[in-house]
Amino acid sequence: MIMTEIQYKKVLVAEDSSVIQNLLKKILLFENCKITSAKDGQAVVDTYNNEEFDLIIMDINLPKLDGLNATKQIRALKGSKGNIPIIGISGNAKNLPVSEFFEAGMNEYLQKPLDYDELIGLVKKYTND
Amino acid sequence: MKVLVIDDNAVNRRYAKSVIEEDGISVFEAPNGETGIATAIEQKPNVILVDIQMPDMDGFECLKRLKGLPEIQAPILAITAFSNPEDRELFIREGFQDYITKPVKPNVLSSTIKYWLKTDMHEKRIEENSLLIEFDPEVKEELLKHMDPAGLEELFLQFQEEINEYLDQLMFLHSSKNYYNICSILHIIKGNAGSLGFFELSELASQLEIKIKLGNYDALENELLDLRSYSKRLFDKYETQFNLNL
Repeated sequence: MIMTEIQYKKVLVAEDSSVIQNLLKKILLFENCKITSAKDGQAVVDTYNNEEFDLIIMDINLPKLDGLNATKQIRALKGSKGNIPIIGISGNAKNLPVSEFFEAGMNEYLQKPLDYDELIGLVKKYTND
Repeated sequence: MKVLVIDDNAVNRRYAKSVIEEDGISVFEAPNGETGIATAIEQKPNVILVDIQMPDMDGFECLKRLKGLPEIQAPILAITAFSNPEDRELFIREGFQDYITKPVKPNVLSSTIKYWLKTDMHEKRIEENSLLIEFDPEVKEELLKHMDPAGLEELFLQFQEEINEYLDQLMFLHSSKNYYNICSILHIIKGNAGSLGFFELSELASQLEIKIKLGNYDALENELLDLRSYSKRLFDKYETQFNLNL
């Protein structure tokens, strides 16, 4: 193994489907991202409280605490911790107005089925300092 | 793809136009409600943006007139400086599909427009039944741009195993009348199947989810059994598509 100088970006993915988690993990690994997965909204908030990340990808329909409320809790954190970029993803099951995602504090919103080029574009936009 | 922007303020129109056009979408402008309605009839836009405060015909009046035209089926979104929760509820109640608050941020405008374009397209495809394709090989090609074949094969196997587990769970949940969890699982199946290109399965799961949410459980047991045999047939047929390591 040759040690390379690749700087991995740390991305926290909140998604209750393990297939989609795995899919995002594979796709983002191609873009030099290291993924940590969380299966529900509470787990996202807890994981983020204990670890630093560069970006959060957040599904809206999550058990325990939904993606909107998890986002609001993260935005309420003090200092730079509360400013992490959050990309919301979801199917349009409830047909919520998109404005609600932005009001909760999400930076971007993508609808499923995901356009992967679009997702990668956004991941790059928010992780390249 | 076409978006119509109805706004009396030329600067705001030009701003919206430049943001939306960056995503490769055509934009038509109208400086007032009358012109807007005429342009909507002529151009058949996929999404219509209407400013709430306009001098001659305000946004609500414009919405009402547009909704009265059977040929206009596009989602209509409000642009507004009002931003307290009661105002926003009013927009939705009056029949706006969504609203964008001023000052309009480019990422919010762009995401919101794309969301409603996708929804509009999705509904048209349901009407035309073109969503009912068993499997779309283009999705597979798309995934192969972002992962290696072994990774995709593993993903497909995981998907297949998980769906089989879910379908067993659904039968069990049905026997205990746990409709809330049934909906959650159907929602996951819908998303997973759609992401791997199995659009018909995704649509079947989605329709069942909607039915249950409307309280329609009468034929559920048979529908779940049908879903199970459908997905079994589906996997038998397309398994070889994902044996990419051979």
